[in-house]
Amino acid sequence: MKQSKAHVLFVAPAVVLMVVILIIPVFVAGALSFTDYGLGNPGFNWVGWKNYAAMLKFSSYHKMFSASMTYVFIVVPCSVALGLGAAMLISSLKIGGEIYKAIFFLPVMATLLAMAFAWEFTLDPIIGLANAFLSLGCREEWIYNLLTGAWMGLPPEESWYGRACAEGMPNWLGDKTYAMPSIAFIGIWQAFGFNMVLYLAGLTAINRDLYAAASMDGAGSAWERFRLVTWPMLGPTHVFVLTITSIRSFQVFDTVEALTKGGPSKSTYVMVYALFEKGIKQNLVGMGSAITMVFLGFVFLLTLTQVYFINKKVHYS
Amino acid sequence: MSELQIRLKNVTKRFGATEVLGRVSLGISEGEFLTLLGPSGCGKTTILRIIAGLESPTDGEISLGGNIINTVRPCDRDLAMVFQTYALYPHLTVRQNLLTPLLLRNLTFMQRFPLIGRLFPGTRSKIVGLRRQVNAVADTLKIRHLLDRKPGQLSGGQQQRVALGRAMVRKPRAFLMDEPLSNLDAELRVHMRAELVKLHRNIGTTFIYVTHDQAEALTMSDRIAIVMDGRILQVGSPEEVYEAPGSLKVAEFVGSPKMNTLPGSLGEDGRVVCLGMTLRRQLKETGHGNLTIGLRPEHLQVQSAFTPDCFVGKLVHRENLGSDLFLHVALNNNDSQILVRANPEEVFPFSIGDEVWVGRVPGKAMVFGPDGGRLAFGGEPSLMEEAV
Repeated sequence: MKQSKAHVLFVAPAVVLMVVILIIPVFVAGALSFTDYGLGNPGFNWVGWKNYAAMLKFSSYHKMFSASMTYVFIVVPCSVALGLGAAMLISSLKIGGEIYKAIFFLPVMATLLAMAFAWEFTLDPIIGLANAFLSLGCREEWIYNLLTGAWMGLPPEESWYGRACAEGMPNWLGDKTYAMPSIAFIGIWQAFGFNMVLYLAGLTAINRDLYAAASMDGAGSAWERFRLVTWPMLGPTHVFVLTITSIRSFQVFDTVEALTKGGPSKSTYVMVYALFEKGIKQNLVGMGSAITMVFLGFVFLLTLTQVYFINKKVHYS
Repeated sequence: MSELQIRLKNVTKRFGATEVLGRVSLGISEGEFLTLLGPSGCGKTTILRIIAGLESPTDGEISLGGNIINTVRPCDRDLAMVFQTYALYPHLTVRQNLLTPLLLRNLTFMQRFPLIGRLFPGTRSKIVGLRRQVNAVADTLKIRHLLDRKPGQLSGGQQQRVALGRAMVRKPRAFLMDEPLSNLDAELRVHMRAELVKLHRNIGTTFIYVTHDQAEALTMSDRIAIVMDGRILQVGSPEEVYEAPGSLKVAEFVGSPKMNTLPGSLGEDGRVVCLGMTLRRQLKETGHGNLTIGLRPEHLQVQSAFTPDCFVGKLVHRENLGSDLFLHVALNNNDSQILVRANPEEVFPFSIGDEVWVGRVPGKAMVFGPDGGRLAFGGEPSLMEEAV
């Protein structure tokens, strides 16, 4: 029996596009990662696993992995928890919820690069708002006592705040101790609004009768109802939010490029910034491709985890 | 019947400016099967939710076993509820669903804590006892084989049983049921009706049942409360509500197909005149203006010959339900239609368009005043008593 070939025609545009703009470039990058190719060079040499070995050998790449991991491990839990918290607070409001939604969602819509310049001024060690605000408390006694722990009888000079008051407020973006937390803080500020919107959608999808049933069954406190209904019913949302936030955190680039350029002493040298620096700025396309492959490996792993959980654990119907 | 267990006194509920319930008073006896029957949006579910504690009344008093419970939290009222959507926890197995109310009530906060809860003394033996209770309820409801499944893997009828089981397992003081059968298919609904009545008879606990389906209300309840527009119009046994409705609204709402209503007036001799015919009985009180005469379809019959006190009309439509045949007759001297029940086994010579004569079963007509209130006939001690 002759089968119709129509289906081939229907899927062809999508498949062709995917192959041309996604699959082929990945394979090209994969191939290039085994070479010493540079853009504009007449030829290239196969160098085998040399680029990958470099990633294991040189400390600047170790710093790259550690910077990316630190960023992900700060931003993901904080922005997910804040997103869920904000969503639950907003959904419990009777009036004014729309205003809070708009305020929290603003950073998501704004161009991060433009916002980065605002943050640069805010975090500036001398003229910045952040330090001006923090040093207000140094002169106000009760705030000083509260923040230094003097009210608990601790010596105020030994606390972080006491030292900052005495020796000057930190250089948020220029000090390698604070650069990564500062970048991560901006990342959280930018990401949690998006998570909040996802959680709000998840919360509205919960059958209100389940809360009533939980109350009747003896869940007297809000915490009991959260544990029995809200948390498990948000299961599919959790998986989605965690995966999306992890992938987006791995992709962080614009704040680093605008504020720290990977420094100081490579403390914010995250993967995408590294591949930009190697592959584009220094024209080491082979090395850049190798970093790209490792980066794709991480993203692929995260996506697989998501698919696994969606299929196995949190699908209720 | 024994003394009142649940009492509502002048309960009012307002959402903003809208009054959902207006001064509702109701007493429910221990072990009774009481149905709140009314059209959708009449406030019957709100009454149930107020009893459950899920809504608080704007005004009025609710008491349970003599204690006022207005401010008591739902979980401390010891009532159980079955929801229209079943509201089973989809992430838990049937066993865990049934176990949840027991765990929440019988274990302390620390004993319920994940993982370390098991380490506290007595937790293990307690859980074993609770599991035994779950198994007993599962046996009663014949859902033992479903205990390890998730609600999503069950059919509607099975979910319904699990929801019942979750309500039953902790032996509450009363069951509150919010249209529990409305999501089932017609056949299963009839079956579950009988099951619920049987269950009520076996466990003897109070059932408060909300429905808009009068067949459910009439077949299952000890008493029915008719709720309309946020008010309770009449409370009585199914027979009372059907045969002696207190008002036109109740009379029109209860009974399927609907009661026929015809305009009438008071004749000079104090007897009611309806479309030129005079009822044999006299009203107890006179002086009413426009009256409404209510005639149920089964109290009308097609006659083979013309008599002076019969309706004359044209047959416009016939509905055969197998056991009953309903005839729609357009009256000649009035632009209204009446519905007549006939026996399909009787050979029926009429066809659509024919002229038919419709007679009344004597003593069955009901008369309602201009305000919709039922008017009693003279010489009639109660509305229940049959008079000719």
